Amino acid sequence: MLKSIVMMDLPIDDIAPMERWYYEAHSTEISRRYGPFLQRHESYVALDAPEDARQFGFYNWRVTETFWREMPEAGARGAYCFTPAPVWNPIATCTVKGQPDNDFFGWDGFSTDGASIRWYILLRYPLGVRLKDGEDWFVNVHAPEVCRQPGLTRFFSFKCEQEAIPLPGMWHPDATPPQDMTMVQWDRVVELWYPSFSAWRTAVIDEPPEYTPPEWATDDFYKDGHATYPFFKPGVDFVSTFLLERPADEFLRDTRYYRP
Amino acid sequence: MAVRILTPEEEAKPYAKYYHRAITPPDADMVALIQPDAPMDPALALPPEHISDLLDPGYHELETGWCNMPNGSGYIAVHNRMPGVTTEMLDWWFWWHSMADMRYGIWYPPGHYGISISKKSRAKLADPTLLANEKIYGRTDHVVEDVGTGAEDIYISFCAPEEMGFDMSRFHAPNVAAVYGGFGFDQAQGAKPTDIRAPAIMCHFIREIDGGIEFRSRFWMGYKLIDRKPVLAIPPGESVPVEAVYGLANHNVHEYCNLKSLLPEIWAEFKDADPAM
Repeated sequence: MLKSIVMMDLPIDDIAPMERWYYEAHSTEISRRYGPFLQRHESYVALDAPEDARQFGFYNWRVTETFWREMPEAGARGAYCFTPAPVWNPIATCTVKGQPDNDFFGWDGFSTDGASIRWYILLRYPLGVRLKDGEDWFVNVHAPEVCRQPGLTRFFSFKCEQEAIPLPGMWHPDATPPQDMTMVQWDRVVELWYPSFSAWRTAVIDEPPEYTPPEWATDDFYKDGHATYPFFKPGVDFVSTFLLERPADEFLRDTRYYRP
Repeated sequence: MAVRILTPEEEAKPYAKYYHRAITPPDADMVALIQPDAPMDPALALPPEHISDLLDPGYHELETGWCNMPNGSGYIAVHNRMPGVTTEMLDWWFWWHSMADMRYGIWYPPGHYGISISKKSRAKLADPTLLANEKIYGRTDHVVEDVGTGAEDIYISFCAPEEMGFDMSRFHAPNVAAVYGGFGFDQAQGAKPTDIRAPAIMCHFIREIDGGIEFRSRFWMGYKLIDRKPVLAIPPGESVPVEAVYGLANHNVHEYCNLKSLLPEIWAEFKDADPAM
């Protein structure tokens, strides 16, 4: 099973027409046309993160996770084009397996121990870093150190599919999301959970564990290297947002109608 | 294409004279096979999954040409004979040139503008106890190069033949003398974070022939190399731009024809010199 992920950012002035379009047109078209292929199609609204939590390539609108029982063929395949958005917004998108590849921390707890906010991250290794070298640092060096963050409740991660996984459906040739707003090449999705933003601040800003920087953080050869945690250049190789545990929308079964 | 002006420090280097030498034009028969309006038949392309077919004796039906494949990827094959060139020279060249912008520039001044390597790689290249293979495999070069579509940042990660998927039970003479290849990503200079990092697999397959070597190059544009296997990274319906495929094929013919004309001489003069000079 594959899970497609779309993380979305949005100028706040566009929130009203985009919320209406997303609920009334886009998610409806996906649910109606591809429902038989879908297991889940749900969306989380980004939390209103404090300023210091927005310095890590923050995306402010939504994350939509779509679980595919089977991936439909790409192309039109009997469907109309998607209704174009009233404005185009930045998105970061990738495909992962249905379950995480690595569960690093917190699996031995209980969900009843307490609720969490999820720091939801897409990252890629900087240009010049081989995937296997980046993975070696992330899994064997960095992850064990992250597990020592005070107050961390959960930490797991997915490897992104490296081959192109086409999503079904067609945009109109004259109304296609612009490429310069779309980031598609990612290596990992990471989830770090904390009880609150205060706990996140303690773990990440005020009392972080000692980290071992990767080679790309200390050598000018890697022009997009980043010297400090998280060792990825925000907005270039690292985008993130904060979500709750429960989706705001489950499009396959949501029967609320949008229009006021 | 522009030629970079050398700095006074570069002009003072003993090998600067090679940078100013007139470019050796490619053989006419090779130029004839790489034309912008004449892509080859994609059915004659070697799929990257069959890279070990290069170890077979003889030649493939098509050894020089370029095309877009039906899956959108780009394919390039170039067969370049290099009389007077030896594997020893190539082994030296494929690490020596990475130590300075001008050395990379000497290779083909109109398109080779700069090169950089990591501190770790530089230390390896300066280590006289390491073999050439140890200096080449595992290294990543960042080159600034114009292959016909404007200056690009290109990251080339050299891989050992087993990492490239070769059948190592057949990887020996006379099937092969050496392979210089790996995978890479390129972006136009000044690219935005949203710009695609275009992947490609590169393979320069060397065999010894009477009086020299032959260079059988293959490029699979649009493919990544992951866990020793090629992975197509182009969504259906998308294609590597035709100009990029033809451009790289044309550039490859020009840069290696120039290299073969100067390599024996530059190798003889500098092979025993301090590599850090």
